[in-house]
Amino acid sequence: MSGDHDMVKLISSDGHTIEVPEDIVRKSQTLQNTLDDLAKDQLENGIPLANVTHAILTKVVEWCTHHKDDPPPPEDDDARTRRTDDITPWDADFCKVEQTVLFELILAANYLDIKGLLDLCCKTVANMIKGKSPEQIRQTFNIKNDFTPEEEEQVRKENEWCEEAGSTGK
Amino acid sequence: MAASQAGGGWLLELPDEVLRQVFKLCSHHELCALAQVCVAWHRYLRTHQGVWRSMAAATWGPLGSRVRGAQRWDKVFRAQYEVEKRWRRGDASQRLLSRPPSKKRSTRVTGVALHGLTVLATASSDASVLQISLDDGEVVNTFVGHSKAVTGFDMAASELITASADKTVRVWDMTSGLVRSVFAPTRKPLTCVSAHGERVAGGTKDGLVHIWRRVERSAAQPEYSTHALSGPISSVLMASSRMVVAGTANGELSLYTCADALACPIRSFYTVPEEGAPVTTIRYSKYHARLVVGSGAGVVALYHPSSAEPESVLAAHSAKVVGLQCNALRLVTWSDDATVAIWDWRETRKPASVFSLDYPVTSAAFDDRHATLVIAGCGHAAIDVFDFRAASDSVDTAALLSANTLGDFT
Repeated sequence: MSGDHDMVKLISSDGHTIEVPEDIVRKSQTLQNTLDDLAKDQLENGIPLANVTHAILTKVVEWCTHHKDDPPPPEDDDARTRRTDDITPWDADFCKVEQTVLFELILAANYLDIKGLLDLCCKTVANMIKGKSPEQIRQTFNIKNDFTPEEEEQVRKENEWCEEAGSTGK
Repeated sequence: MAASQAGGGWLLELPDEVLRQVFKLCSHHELCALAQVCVAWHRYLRTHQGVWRSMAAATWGPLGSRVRGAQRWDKVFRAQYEVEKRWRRGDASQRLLSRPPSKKRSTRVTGVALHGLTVLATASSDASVLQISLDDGEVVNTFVGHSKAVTGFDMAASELITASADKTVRVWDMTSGLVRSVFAPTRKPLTCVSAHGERVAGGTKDGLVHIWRRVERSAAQPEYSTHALSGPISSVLMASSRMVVAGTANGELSLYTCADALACPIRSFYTVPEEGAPVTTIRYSKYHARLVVGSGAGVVALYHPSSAEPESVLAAHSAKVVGLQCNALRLVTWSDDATVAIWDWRETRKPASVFSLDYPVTSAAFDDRHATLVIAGCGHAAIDVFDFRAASDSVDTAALLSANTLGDFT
């Protein structure tokens, strides 16, 4: 049961066109709205995505395809019950990318409004921060320490209140 | 499009709503670490106080976000964090608040409550109700009217509601100390009282629960009365303006709604674990949507209000649980075993801290606005005051918890 009319053309910012099954495209709330708003013939030429490159779009489609049978993600639940350790192995592998790619994936997921993918990316970023010292965070994200020694000491003092021995956070 | 590496790296280039989502997954430890990474992050976390605001809400439940007008949520969070640490450790400065001497040596304080910077205390031996300054022990108000022991005691808005063995319920204006309403007389002495919204519920020794409308100035006839329960009423809770829960001295717990003239309970069951152990206190935790019931068998049981099954049972004390108070953060229980236990809701297998006293505790109360716990007991001529603030705490501490809803006194 294929049929051409089930395919939607998406045009990346660098001019590549890819055809994606409509049910995959509908994982994106933004594109779902576009599909619902435009008439069939208006879609013939494809939907231009000004903010998403071909490479990133391919990644996004890959994720949506793998997750096409997932139930819709739940609404934001209680902040206290939010976890970051429930990432499936496939998703974890999917996120093992250069940081620049992760950054653009987040922007694309946000722009296309794909909640499941955005949640995954945010969890990945949070996990990159979790349990790290300031110096380890700098190394992870390649950030330069631009405090003067005096400032650094002051900032350290400012924040030492939550550094309990053996504490694991919340 | 490559992410700019300037300043705080690509993280800071993320749209605000995405950054917020990431922060929601971080703990305060991680926020503190981020603030020490570089100038840009330090500035970001200083100027985006909303991050700390939602951290407060995520850590302490809805109460954090109720506080208005705070400028520096990082400081508020930190101050509250320190206070919470001391609540968990039982790390408080202790002082005594002397009560006026009583004629009887064994004066039993049947109730204490905190109202702003004063303590309200009732004594059963002399029918007195006193409002005492928390600072110096001065008596601010004396509520005169009851002729016999005051057995039940509740606060609602700016009113104090008392029930007495003299078979009356009185509603007092807390600022003037004048009686506003008298509901009387019941056939048998009253044992407990609870108010919510416009209704006041009182339980009697002959197993009846009466409900009056608080706005009435006086009423001989209650608005509703139950049929007699299986034993003397030992505790009552006006859980909402329509729902009342009554517990008896032989362990039966009954739920009523005001809709059906209280003809029969919508649910009635015996409390765990020992049938027959008296129900000593009933509270409702809004935050957990649970009835919290103290038992003469020394345990505290949590019930889902619409099912009779206990959700969990806390092995609290080695003797009768005399009373308890709870809010979103913690549960405080006190007992005949001369201890007061402070429980962290996140870990209820054992109390976070226990205060041992040298008298059977008859009443206690805590107030988060002033990080204070007061304890009174049988034969003890003073009220113990525990202050959980450190000397260095700023006023911001109190600001976080200024929401009335946190008190959960009822």
